[in-house]
Amino acid sequence: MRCSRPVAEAKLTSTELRAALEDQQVKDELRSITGEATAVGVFGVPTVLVGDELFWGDDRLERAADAYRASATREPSGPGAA
Amino acid sequence: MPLRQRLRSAAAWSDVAHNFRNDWAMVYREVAIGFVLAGFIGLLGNDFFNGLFIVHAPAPLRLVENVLVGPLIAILSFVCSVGNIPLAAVLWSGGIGFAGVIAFIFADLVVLPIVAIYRKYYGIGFTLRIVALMLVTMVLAALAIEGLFSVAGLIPTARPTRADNLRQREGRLQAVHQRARRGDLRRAVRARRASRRDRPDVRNEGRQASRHLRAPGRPHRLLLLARVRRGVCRPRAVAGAASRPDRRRWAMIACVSSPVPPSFFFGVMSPYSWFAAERIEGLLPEARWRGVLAGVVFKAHGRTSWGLTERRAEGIADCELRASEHRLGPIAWPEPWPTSDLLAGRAMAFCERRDRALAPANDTLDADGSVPSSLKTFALTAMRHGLSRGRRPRTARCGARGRSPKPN
Repeated sequence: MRCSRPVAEAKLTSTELRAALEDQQVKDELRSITGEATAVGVFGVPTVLVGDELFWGDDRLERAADAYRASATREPSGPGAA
Repeated sequence: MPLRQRLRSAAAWSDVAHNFRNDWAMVYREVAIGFVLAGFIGLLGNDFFNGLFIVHAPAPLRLVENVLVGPLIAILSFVCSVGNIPLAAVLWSGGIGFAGVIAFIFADLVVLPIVAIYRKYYGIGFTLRIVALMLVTMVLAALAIEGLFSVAGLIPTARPTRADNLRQREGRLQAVHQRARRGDLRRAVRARRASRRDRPDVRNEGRQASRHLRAPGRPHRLLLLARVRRGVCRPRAVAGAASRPDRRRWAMIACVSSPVPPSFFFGVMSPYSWFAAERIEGLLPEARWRGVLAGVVFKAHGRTSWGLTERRAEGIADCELRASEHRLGPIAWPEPWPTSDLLAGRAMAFCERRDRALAPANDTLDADGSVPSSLKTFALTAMRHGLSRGRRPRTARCGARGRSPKPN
């Protein structure tokens, strides 16, 4: 995949990106992000994780948004509220 | 020979070994067949067994029928004394009387494999006599026990069903999640391990979790979950100054006290991810974007991209349809497709790290968009470029409340 356009849009320089692509830390980071995804039960993309609930598929975005709004109003506001 | 001497004698040990071997040589076929059949019979639903009992009939008739049917099921179901208690529980929940259950449990002495063994060693005539005698004895014994227990008021009345069991497991699972939410990880992990043993049939998710747990060298799922949360919550101001373990505790407390923003996992070469990415800014601007390697996610769950299966043509057509619905189409499919997203994935991981470094002194990206996210910009541009030759959505509005993020 040619990356020049996205790279420019994201204001990255090609030298820093070239270094990043072979950087072990970056590789590990990508592995850990993907590992986190599978660990929370993500089995396909796209998936939105709201709380403990997974919403798989681009057509479930609305439901994910609704669930998030509902949980945000329900969520206790301070550490005192258990 | 005294016991101590026998324990030390090689000849005695050799005798033990020979006896053991001969016992097995005698019965191994019957035991193997019995186990296999019992496994299959265990798959029969409750309804199958429930149909065998008279439940609505006068008490004496019911008692006699149950007490005879119990051993009959035992004989036919091949379940030996190892496996008959779980099946007895199934029968009990199905409505069989107490005497019936007791007779069923006793009847492990006359199950078909054992009858076959009797026949082998004592001949048919004597076997029939043994079996008949045992049947009569076990029926009488079961009736006697029923009588004694009912006089003493010891007969249980609750009949838990399989659904109750499932609900109980679900309840335990809920408790685990609750505890995890409170940040009590150690207890949560322990409780989860305890509930894991009989979990896999609760939900598909359980199977995935346990598969993950079995993978060696990976931290526990709940610990990872907390790490995910830790990464996305806003720790208190004190957290920065605290020592590392303290910081962790604070982050966990912060997790409980502030709502965790949703995470948006996407693959940069996945068209469905692209459709979602174009719309999510409008629907869930709080979402934290996480670019993953779709192939690795598929593989971890034993799946594969639909682009590599016979559903490819169907999937492509569906994508085109959705793209036009979202006014994103037509899609310019790269050749070949699906192709590796490894380098783009690394670039996204790099962007995410850079965003985190540039974000103000907290762990989260600012939700209101005041902090430009190079990850979002990179991912969106890459997806547009990869799947539609860089075209922007044709309208400013895209999706229900959609708007594409400002390129910065």
